[in-house]
Amino acid sequence: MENKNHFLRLEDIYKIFGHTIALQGMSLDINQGEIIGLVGPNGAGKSTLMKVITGVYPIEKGRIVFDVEVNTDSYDANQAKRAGIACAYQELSLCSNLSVYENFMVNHLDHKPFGKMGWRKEAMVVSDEYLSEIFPNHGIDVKTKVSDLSLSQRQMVEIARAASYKGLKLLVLDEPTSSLTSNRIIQLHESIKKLADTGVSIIYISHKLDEIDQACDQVVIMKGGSCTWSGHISETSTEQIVELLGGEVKTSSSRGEHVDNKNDTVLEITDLCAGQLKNVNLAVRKGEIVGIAGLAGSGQKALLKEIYSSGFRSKHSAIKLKSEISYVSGDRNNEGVFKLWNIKDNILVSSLKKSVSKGLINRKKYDENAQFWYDKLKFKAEGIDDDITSLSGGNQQKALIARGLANDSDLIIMNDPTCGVDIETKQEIYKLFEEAKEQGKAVILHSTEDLEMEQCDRVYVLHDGEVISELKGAEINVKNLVTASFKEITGNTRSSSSAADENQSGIKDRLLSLLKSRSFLPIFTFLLIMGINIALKPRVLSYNGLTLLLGSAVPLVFIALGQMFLVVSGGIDMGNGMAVGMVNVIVAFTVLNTPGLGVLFLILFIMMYGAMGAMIHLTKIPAIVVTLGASFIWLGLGLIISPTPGGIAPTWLKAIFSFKFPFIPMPLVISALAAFLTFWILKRSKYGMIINGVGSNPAAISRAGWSHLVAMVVIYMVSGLMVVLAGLSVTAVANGGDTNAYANYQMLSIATIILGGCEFKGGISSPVGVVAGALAISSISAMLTFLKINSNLQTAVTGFILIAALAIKLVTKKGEAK
Amino acid sequence: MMNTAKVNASKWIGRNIWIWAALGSLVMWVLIGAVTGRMTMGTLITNATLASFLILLSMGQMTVITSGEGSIDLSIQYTVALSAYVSSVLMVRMGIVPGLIITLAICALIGIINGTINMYLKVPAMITTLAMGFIIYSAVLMISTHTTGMPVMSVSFFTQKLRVFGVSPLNFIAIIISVLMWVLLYKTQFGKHLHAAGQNRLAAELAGVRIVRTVFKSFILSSVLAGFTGTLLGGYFGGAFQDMGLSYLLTSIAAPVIGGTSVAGGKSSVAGTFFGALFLTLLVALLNVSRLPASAQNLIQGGLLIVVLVASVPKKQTQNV
Repeated sequence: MENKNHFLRLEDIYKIFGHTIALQGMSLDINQGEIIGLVGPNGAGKSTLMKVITGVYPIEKGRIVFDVEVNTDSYDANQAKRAGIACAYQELSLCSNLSVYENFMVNHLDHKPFGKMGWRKEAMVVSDEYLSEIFPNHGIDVKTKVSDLSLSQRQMVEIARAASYKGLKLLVLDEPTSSLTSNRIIQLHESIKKLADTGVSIIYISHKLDEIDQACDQVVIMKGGSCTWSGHISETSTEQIVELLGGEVKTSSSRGEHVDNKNDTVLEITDLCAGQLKNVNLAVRKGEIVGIAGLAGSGQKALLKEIYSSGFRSKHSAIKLKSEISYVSGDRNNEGVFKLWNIKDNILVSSLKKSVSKGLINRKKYDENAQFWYDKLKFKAEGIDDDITSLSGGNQQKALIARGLANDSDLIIMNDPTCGVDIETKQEIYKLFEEAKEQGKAVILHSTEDLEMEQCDRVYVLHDGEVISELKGAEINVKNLVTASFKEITGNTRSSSSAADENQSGIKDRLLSLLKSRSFLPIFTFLLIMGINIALKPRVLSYNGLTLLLGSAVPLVFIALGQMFLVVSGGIDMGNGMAVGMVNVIVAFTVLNTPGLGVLFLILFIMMYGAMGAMIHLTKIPAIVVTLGASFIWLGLGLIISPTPGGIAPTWLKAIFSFKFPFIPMPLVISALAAFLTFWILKRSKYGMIINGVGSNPAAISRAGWSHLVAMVVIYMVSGLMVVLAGLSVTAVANGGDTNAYANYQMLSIATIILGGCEFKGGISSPVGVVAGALAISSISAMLTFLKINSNLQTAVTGFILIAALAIKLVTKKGEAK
Repeated sequence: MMNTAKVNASKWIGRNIWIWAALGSLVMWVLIGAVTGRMTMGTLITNATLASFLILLSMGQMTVITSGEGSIDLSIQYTVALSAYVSSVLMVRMGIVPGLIITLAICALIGIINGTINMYLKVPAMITTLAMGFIIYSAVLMISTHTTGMPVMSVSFFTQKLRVFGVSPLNFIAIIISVLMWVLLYKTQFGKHLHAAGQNRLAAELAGVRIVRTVFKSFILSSVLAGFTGTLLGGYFGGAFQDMGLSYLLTSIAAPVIGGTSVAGGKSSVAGTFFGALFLTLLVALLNVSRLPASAQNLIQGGLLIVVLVASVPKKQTQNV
């Protein structure tokens, strides 16, 4: 053995989640400049181990030794970062609403709130260099939003970002090539070898054994949470690794003996074209297990989804389905398990009809049915009433398979049903396949493990959305599958064609992107309403006319902007109407006579908003609930200050609002300033990047070392500041205070931000759009008056505009998908 | 032995969060007795009668919330006012039963429109119902210029004066509807499908649940219950007014949440919502008899609400970072 400098040693690590032991005495030695290939079946604990190394998970037991041993209790993500550990995560830790270079900067910049002038330009150059270092000629514009990148481009960014870490000592790559094209994979392998030459250690986790063979020096095999074999790559072979992984699967004997009989066809697909899929033809007969194979991302999942959805409504005449259909997914978290339920409910949800008598679910029957499957599949649990989440992955999967079998469908789609399942359970699952087959059911099987395809009678191999080959019976083995999958790949047309697409940007595209811009719709609506107003009453277009018409819009501008900040963070403010009322009375009653006290109150108020943010973050209570409760508090405080309407606006405040700005009416000036300020905060400032990131992927921001808590407090305080500005404006407009008068702003502010182009899913803002939306909504009542329409219809018009705006958005988004 | 009993008890409470809302109601009742110096069944029944409206509304709201994806029905406050007006007019013209049926049918239509916009235009439920609420409110404003919304005699007698075994029939309605809701949510396919959809819509769809159908039903149920409530409330107040549903917006969301309904969806509690509504009503009653100024009442109500909500929302066990 060569004598290399050791970088990190893990000894006897234990990590336990509830009932599952993810790591069980795992040990690992990492030397400097070494590339370690980490292999193991799904659920072996590889990803958990990586999260232990990167300090994301604290461990129950074990030792972590760099030059000196670290205290495992205090070992966290920051300490791991300081030690020089960076990780490209499998589930991609990018913020999709930020641009590529911003995603680099989230990791690279110091944590001061503001950057130097021109930091963005510099950041773009630097980020581009980082990308080129790993992937020469990467072809990615760093200004692109991550959500607009292809999956493979995202993975490139993720890897390059991790590799660009300053003071990098250990780079963890978790399934780095799952969506990369073959030439990018070659680039990656070359780049990490260069990195290793500079003394950086690399952990390379992959299911693709040929890649491990090409890229790594050492191999470590994990199974069941511990290391089962480790050694130099030259000491082993791919076959041996497969054997060590315990992947040997007994092939079933009865396969391929099916007699062709057209009457037995359960599913027939002729010339299906949909999305990724091109001219797919296939047939499935009773008593048959049909595999769908191919390289990852060749359209297998799309095909399964199309087949399944044809059971609901026949979208395509191309799919002829002659039976009920059920679906079993291996992606238990996202597509399978109902986490709040027990085993019983999880199994029977697909077959409730069988337990119903006289329209109601019969408890006894229900339990019996569940017990039947529980016994049949030999669950390892205390009983049918156990929570599903207390089970191991394999047993959860059994529940899902039972669910698929229980509803008596003749066709069962199995999408990677043995993902993360131990060998024993796997064999049991294969037995169930056989049983289903004997009962005359048909199974469509898709698996990420090629070996599993040996269970099938026939296998269709997909490539780039097309069926390129069909294997039958004894022809089905890993070698043939791989050969078939890689057919036609030599030209590598996919990546080049997509690159060509990216470069085509004509006038048409630019026009389309204008239409799709978030602020287009609200600005258009505003101009339309103003156009109608001016057409009906030309005097509106005068300086005074506009001042009068838009004066009442200013409060809505601010309160909607405040609402926008909360929505960006993933929350919603249900109490801002009352909050504006309270600020209103503070200003009208205290600011005039005791300015100091008034200012103190307002500062306290903003701090209370910040506290609300902290509370929402720390207790994980939905923002809607907290802000709802807070609305009572605002009302109460407002009533304490003044139980009855009254007061007066300070003269300086009135002076600001009635200031005669040259040529442009004051309300428009204020609105423009508000738009500019919030635009700068969210789209230009450094901390704005973090605010946006928190709304989209808080975990990624935290991993980069920014405090989620601080971000929440800042967001809520900015929102509180906007409420204060709104309160100041209403005081100036109404020249007095009334704590109860502005409750309707709460609903209006939500309507405004939605019209303005924001979305509830968080991280998506549009300051200019929101301001335009506020101006538009405020001009509706004038329009109705001019049109001589009953002013009672004002709210209805707002409602219709809202629905219309969202419908238009839906249509333009559809265009985007194509 | 002691330990397992303890564990079982805590498990039972974990599954039956409604017990806290029931206990809270009891405490409020006792406190009202302490403040007024008289502890009577009467105060409890009076407040339970008053709570009936909130119970009915909250049951619908709970159903929508349980359907998941952060759904909330913001239109019910306006539906209440609309149905109060519409039912009074229709009942005068065509009799009580046909009037009620048509009113509820109109409300069902509102639910169908909500479902259509939400499911087919892919507008989040909150925005859908907000926009719909705006439209309904306009309708209310239009109608209110033509009618006073005076209920027919028999409806106001039924809601105000009638006593069955010394108790207002509103209480029986609240209980009957609650029982029916319990059956619907926990004993039928729809109930199971609703909870499945609320936990994970994709998984539910793959398990054979018709999402569109389920969501439509939840919106319709919510709107129809709001319509029924509005009709009764119009009778109780002896007339309809434009903002009669306004005070129910916040409480109709708070009552289910206090009772253990998850804002994230997939978890509901009929008993919890029942007692949550009762608790909120008694809380307001207590604040009223306390003779505190309105400001302090609101402060206490808001503060208590936040504390109770904080306590009743179970802490998420986040495994994955």
